[in-house]
Amino acid sequence: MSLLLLLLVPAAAAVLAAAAPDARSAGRGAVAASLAGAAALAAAAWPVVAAGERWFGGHWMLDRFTVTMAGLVVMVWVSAAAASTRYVGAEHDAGILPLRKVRLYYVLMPVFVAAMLVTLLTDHLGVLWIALEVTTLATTPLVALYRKDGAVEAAWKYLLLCSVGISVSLLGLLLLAYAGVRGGLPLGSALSLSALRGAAGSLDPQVVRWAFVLLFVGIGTKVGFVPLHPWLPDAHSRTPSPVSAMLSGVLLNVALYALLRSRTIVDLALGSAAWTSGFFLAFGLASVLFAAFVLLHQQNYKRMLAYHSVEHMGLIAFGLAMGPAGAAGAVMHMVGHTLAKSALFLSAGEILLRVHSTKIPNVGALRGRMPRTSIAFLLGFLGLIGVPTSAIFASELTFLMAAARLAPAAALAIVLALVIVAVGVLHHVFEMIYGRVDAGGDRPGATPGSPVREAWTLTHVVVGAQLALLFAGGVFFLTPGGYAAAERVAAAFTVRP
Amino acid sequence: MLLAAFFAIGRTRLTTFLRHYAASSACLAGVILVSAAVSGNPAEYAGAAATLVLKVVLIPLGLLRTARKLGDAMRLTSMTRPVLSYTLAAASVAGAWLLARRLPLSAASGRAEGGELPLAGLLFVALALILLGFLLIIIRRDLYSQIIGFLTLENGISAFAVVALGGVPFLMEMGIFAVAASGVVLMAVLSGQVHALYASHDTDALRELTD
Repeated sequence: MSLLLLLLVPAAAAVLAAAAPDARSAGRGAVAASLAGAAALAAAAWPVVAAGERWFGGHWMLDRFTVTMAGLVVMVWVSAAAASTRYVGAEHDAGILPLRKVRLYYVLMPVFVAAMLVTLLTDHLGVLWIALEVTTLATTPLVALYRKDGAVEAAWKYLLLCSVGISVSLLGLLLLAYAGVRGGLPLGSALSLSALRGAAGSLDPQVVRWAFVLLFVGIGTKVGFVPLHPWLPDAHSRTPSPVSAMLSGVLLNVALYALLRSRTIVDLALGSAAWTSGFFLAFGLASVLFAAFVLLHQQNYKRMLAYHSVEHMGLIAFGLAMGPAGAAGAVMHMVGHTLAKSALFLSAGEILLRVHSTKIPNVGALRGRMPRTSIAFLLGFLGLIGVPTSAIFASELTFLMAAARLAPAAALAIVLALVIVAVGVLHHVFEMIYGRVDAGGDRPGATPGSPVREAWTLTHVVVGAQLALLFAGGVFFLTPGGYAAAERVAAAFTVRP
Repeated sequence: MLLAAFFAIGRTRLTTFLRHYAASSACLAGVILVSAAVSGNPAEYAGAAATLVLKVVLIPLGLLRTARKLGDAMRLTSMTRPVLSYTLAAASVAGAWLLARRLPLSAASGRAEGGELPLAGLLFVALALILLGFLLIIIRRDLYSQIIGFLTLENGISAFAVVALGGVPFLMEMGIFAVAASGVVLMAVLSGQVHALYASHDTDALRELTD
């Protein structure tokens, strides 16, 4: 019941937003809808968390992993909606976004959220595939929202690459269902994740292997593994910042979730996780190393954040290749990455509103100009590169310790890449916060560096809360209870040999 | 179906190109119809009809109208010359043949199990269509060809679904249809915006975002 409510809330929000009389009420409606969604999720998830049981209602499925991911989605939804009232409102007042586009924005945002939630909650392969593709379709107009040349180009790449990728994954899903049919399931249940999981022992390993390769390449495009990533930095950097926060913070996790759900079936059919781990290890390493070198010379701070997503998806994939302990680390990392990345994109939105440029050289002396945002930005980056007590510190510690035993050479390469990233990123961030201001970057009328007092906005509240969670999360995950919680979540998709 | 897609590779006029796509889709509808006759599943007849309406009539006409409205030259550009294009296409088809033989699917199809896959020979066609779709996306430089490449790919997957599973449940098929159709509509809208910005449909114009 509450599950149905969870999906009805975004639908209602979309309809209401289409009829919103002005930008401000549309924004308020979005915040109210996201809060209602959070309440509905809490009601739906409570029995699962309390009892720890999976719960199937017809075609829906909830376990601890689902609840964790859905919680992240709704958390970022609330934050992004709150930040949107400020960000979209400011752009509307400045005449950049006409009311028609503001409405479009607030209609598509809940549709996007609903598609992500369906992807997480469904037990049906076909519904999962459709919902995953709807996330692309709903966000493409948001990427192209500004209609500047770069935005349209980004949207085209995004749509084409992700659609093709998703089509490839449909082949994989069909093969998986085919394996189910041959394994003796009726066609209806061969499309059910839980039925396939139950019958995993009777699936033909050869067919399942092919299915996994197609799924990995297809969904991996949406996760943004190198070399399937070229759309990601463009799309993530061209959308309005609150949407970037959602794309980068949760959509990548949702895609990864879909991949992990099918991976579990494959692992069960093959009897161990060793074969699929190879894929995660190879693509994870490639993503981390590639992103590390790009990050060294990146000149655009939103693109820098986007490449960070490539890097962190790589790290998560690496963790997923490192057995049960690595999987627990990967869960922590997903949580930490979502918190840090959405906080950073929302702060980047504040900077963009003030500076009107995404080029790092055009930004400088933020410490004096935007003291609150600059502190949030710095803290967010420190959390992102894994400074204690960030949740990302805890996760990296966890899966690197697992990796030191299982794959020492790869672990060394990852540590090296992390150092490169930290150095490169801190260099850029210090340049933005403490560097000198180039002429022309600031708002007309204000002399560069002049202390125009920065107003306290809703975005700061949201970002502050996320950062507090990020740094508290690390402490939590390093306590025995927190580690056990991450392990329990990871148990939903790990196969022990 | 395959022939139509194959010869489309070398075509450079949009109208001809779309006619090839429509012909290929019509064959797909035929395949689904045959499968429906074999399995006797009424939902599949509906699937065939939907394919016919959407892919043979609506999508090609819609694309053509968008193109006409924008007053585009009906010539499309290719990165490779026709001969090379055909060679590459032939290579993809051959690759599909090899792949179809190696896939565990076809190995199973010959075996008993009550004639589970009546259309197994089509597996090769489905795979070839998918590869040709990829090829179109890679070698063509204009947005329309990339859209049609994507559609060809999608046709291949539909054919694959029929071959491997004897068709997917009706609601799911409609869902996939709806998603694919809205994807194409979005692509058409975007290509209109690209046109408005760059006055061309050449993807060479889309080279700004690189690292």
